[in-house]
Amino acid sequence: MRTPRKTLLAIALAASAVGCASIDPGPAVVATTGILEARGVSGVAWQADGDESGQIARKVEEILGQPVGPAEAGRLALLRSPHLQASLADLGVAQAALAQATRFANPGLSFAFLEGSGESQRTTGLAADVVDWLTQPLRRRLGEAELEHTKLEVAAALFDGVAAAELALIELQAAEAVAAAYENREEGAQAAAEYARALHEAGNLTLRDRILVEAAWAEARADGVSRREETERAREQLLRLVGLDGGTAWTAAPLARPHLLPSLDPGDLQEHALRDRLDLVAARWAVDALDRVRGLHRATRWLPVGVEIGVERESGGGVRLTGPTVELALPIFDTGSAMQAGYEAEIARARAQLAGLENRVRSEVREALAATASATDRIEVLENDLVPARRRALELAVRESYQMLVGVFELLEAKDQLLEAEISLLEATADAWRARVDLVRALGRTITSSAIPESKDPKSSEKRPEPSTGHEEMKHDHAS
Amino acid sequence: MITRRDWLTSAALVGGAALAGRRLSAQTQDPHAGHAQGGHSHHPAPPAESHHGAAGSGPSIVRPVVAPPSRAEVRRMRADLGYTPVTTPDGITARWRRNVAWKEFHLVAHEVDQTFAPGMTVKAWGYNGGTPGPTIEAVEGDSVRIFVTNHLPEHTTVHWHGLFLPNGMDGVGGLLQPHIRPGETYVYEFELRQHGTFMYHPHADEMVQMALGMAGFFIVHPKRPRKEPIDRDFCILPHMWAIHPGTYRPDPMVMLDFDLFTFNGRAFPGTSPLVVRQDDRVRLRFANVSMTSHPIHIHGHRFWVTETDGGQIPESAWIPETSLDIVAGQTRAVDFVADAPGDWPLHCHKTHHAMNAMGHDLPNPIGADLEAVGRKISGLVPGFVEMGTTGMAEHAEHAGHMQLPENTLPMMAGQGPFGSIEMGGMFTVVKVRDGIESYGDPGWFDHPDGTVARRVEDAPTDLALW
Ligand SMILES: [Cu+2]
Repeated sequence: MRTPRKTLLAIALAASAVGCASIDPGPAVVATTGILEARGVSGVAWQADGDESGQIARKVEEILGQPVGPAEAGRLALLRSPHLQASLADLGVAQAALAQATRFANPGLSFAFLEGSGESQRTTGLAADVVDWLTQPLRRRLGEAELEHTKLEVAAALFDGVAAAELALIELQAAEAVAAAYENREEGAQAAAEYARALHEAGNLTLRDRILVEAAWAEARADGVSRREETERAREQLLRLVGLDGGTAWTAAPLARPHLLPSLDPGDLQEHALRDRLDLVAARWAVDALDRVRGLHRATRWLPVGVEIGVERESGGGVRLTGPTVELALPIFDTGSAMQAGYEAEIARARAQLAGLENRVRSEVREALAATASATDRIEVLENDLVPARRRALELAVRESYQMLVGVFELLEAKDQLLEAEISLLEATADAWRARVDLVRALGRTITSSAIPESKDPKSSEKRPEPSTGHEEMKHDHAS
Repeated sequence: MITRRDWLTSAALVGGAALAGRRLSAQTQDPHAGHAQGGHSHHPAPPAESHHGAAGSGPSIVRPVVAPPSRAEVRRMRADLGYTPVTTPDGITARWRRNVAWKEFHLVAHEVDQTFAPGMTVKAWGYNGGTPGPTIEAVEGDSVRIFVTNHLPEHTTVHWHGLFLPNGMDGVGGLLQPHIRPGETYVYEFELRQHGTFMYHPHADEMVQMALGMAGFFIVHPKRPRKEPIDRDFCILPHMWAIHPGTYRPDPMVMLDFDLFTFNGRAFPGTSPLVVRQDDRVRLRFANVSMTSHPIHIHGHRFWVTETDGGQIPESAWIPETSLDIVAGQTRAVDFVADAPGDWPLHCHKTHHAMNAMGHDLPNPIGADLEAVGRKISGLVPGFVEMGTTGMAEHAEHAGHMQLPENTLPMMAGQGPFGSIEMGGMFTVVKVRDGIESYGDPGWFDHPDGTVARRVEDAPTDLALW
């Protein structure tokens, strides 16, 4: 069994072998990009230095030069979204925190500057050079772990931002298509109203009947206004998500049918999701990190130097490690058993959350697949049966009108029923797209028409974070 | 299955049938006679074939196409029979055979596919290949034996409307006899103790069965005919139907909104003309089993009402008419001398009865300014044509080149020598021609010079107002 003394020695020796961490977030961005590319998302633009070359602006212009579809909306978000740029900046913050944590304190005062959950926390460290020297490797490990954690979070934010932009574009396409169909309904109602007015003026229709038809037109007009408002809402929602202003001229592509997915084995897809979902990766990181923290605590509890690492719960259920805090104390009264029990409970909790999340991921995949299948089935029924039936009924009604078997109001009603069926088809088509986005979110990766590609899963960018126990050999990093 | 070679379907016209009937007066013994409900074992029965076919499946009876007779043939038949045989335009006369003292007839009730006019076929119920059923023709004093075979999917009976007969032969199902179940043959026997124009029709589920077309004429010629012989004797059964446009089967649920009107199961322009020679003494007989009355109107002549269901009216009581209302359940006969050559319409004067199907619940466009909105609607509803603001005549004009609903006749149709006739339903033409020897369709009337209404350039300026 390793003695505390030996451990302390190991920490000291290790610390002597390393320098300060870099403040350059570039490698972290590259690693995060790698995480996303492994999930089919590429085109992350990092605007840390602004867009001096105008490269990003040119790409945006190029995308907006064509009708914008869901994929283009996702690319726009990666290029322009301020939210996503803010997420990317988190990498710089985490990198800086790491760099700061690895610095040796100037004599006198020292600060531990730690970044957690978007709040910076400044902790006055122990003003003892030896302790600072002793805990530097530990601080480095902790900082590195937090940086890994941040990469996962940023990748997740970008992934979700792309999906959100795609969804917003789909909502815009659907709203525009439905609004156009409502405009047709309005035209039909207007024609009926004008017809009724002419009949009334000729003395063939009661005023009441005329007013009823005109009232239906007013209803259709009010519906049309609502629908147009919905397109405006959808457009603004999208503009916010991709970071465009209202002055930019561009059009959404018409709502098309989503490409068919290859036949997907639900079991396989659930396995893919368990591997790819970034929230699962983060949850596993949490279990692992807590396990290591517990190990560290156990290894150092008999030392006169108490090392404590805080565990903060995040709103999403994850954990964030804070610290370390170091106390000089003889373990006479407090042997750290309560702290140890706390770590045990945190681990148990994180494991339970991981299990819950895994179950949820599998369920979400099944749900998204069911929604995809149901939207596809609805499209089939509507496109192959309902819309042709309504169209045929209209044609037959026209034939009957040649015989004075049906009148104009019935014809226009038949036309309206056709439009209603076409609107149902538009809604089903939009639902197919929505289900597609849900499936992408459930899987944690994009899907192509041909297949779900194997994750490249580069180990380097997703290695388990390693809050150091001091047992392992340490890696060299860029010296500061 | 009964083929058209069978005796009951080869029913030819009038005298031909009668003569053939005599030749066919074989004493067929029916092996099934003992099983027939209400039958008597000594009765001869129709040939065994007529018992074939599953109940309700219906035999495939196709009526023969019969050439119109020549005038000479009609005269020969009159001499032979002692009466002028009736003509049922677009229908047939029942064949009969003599069996000792009996005149034997056979009615087979079954579903028929009947063309009401080119472009419209109806799944009706009728007798011996059509609706109305074959006209039964006999002479006062005859003893008739009528076999009735039921190939309908439900039971039936035959009621001999207006005839004096034993109570048990009156054909009221349940009250006077058991119903004739599908597949069964019954026999009716009675002596004709009167003369006149009568009918037969079911008295079992009669609302449905008559709505689907089951009825026919029963003509009893007087034993002692009037001095002036009838040259042309026509039977016309006006009937109305609820065959919703685009459908094929009459809808018996309808009580008022009938949409198709026929003479002898044909709607104009599917009705055949009544061809007579100038100065022929013509008799028209009508019988009505429909749900309302039909005021039948003739052009260019007046007729004398000479017969009711009750028989001949004494000549002193004849009344002249140009329209005669035939109410539900009534028969009438009218006589006239066709003294005016020409093509004279004969039609029901309820105007909706003299046209084909149209909607009755649509907005009236007449007189409305619909041009602009009509164009707008054409943009919204492909194929829409705004019609009817000036009246409905353009529907008849357009009927030729517009695609109408399936199995539906144009609401107004028929092309005459001067244009669209714009009629339908209960409408036909009496063609009176001078000196013809055949009663085949002579074509359109060749009007003598100066006898056709003509357009003039200058209308009077001061006559219409005062
Ligand atoms: Cu009538």
